[in-house]
Amino acid sequence: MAKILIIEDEPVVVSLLKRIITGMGHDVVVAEDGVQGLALAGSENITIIVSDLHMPGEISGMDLIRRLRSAKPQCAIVVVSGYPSPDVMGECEQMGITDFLTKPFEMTFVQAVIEGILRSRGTAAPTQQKQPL
Amino acid sequence: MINKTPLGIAFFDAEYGGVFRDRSLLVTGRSETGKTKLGLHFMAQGLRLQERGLMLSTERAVDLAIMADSLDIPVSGAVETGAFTLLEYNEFVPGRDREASIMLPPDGFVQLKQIIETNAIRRVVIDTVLPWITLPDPTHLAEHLFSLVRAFERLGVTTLFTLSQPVSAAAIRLRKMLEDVVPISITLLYEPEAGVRQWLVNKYLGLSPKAAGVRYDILPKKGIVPQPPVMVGERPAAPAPAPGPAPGRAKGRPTSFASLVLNQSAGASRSAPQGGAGQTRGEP
Repeated sequence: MAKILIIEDEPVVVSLLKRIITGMGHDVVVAEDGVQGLALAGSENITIIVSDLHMPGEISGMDLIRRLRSAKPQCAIVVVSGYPSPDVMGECEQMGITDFLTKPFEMTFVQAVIEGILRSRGTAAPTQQKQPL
Repeated sequence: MINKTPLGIAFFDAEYGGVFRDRSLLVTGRSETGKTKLGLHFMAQGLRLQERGLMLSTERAVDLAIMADSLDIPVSGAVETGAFTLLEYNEFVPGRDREASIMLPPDGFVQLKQIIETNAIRRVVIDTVLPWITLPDPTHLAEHLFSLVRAFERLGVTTLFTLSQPVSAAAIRLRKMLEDVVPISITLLYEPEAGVRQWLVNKYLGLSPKAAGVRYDILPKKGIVPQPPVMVGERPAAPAPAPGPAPGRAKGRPTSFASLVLNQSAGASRSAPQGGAGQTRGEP
């Protein structure tokens, strides 16, 4: 079982992600903005961070990713966004982002992306509980 | 690495080397230009390459099978074997003038994704893409389109989207936005009075498409073929009429994709279509 941090301010997206990830048998912690996200990333034993690129509050999404990457280099980071410009995608790639999901359709790949990350790290995935989306 | 796969139209493949594998292409054109027939050519080409295909259409599955047979596009047999899956948006087919009124429920993509993954499908035709991109609030339309195209690409399928010729400013903007996020965009033109059909490549990533289009016909037993070159002083010959639905035996039982999804949204069974549920797979 892995602990996954979701940093996202849209309740609908949080609810969807939580449903998918807990359905896979993993633990989920949620932060509504970058400050809270950084704090949770520091205090919890997080394996994967799923973060929106557009965050409210004092830390921009890109700045948040940069800080998370620096503070938690061992964590896989999956960025969730709408229409990222090629520059933004390039910057994310340079920072070593593990994967990039766009809203709304690509959200359905969250499960596959998380399974792929855990498999590549040799983390045994818990028994999958199939959840309707 | 750039990896291409044939579209299934000889003159296009000879010129461009095919389409980008596991990417998308957009085909725009008014009715009768041959968008659906092009989709069938694309499917047939995939079948020749042992690639399983799926076509989601506003046309009835039985009509598509008849249309393919009349063009000598060998897809009906593939429906029988399960190599080709036909899905209908709705059992009661709205006319093209009503395409805008079709709108998929939010879990429409999940349903389609499950069918594609379960059946190891490699080529997809979405005929028409309009139900996927019709939003009550167009504020985030660009994000929506980008996400849709990326989602199909992430599935590892080569996808052909068709779209009716835009006639309003909003529709033209929509088509432009979609064209921005696909690597290849083709427009099919048709002037019924002159009997002239023209194939234009608007966009081909990495190449400069030819400004001049290719004149083409839709011929019985041949499908989409280029017109022979016109000699100076010669009037272009009127193309043979496109074959209409011919009497024939439809293979398999058509299933309504949209009604399947809508039923599930309405609280009916939400179980994933497994092993061919919701598909035309030669069921009795």
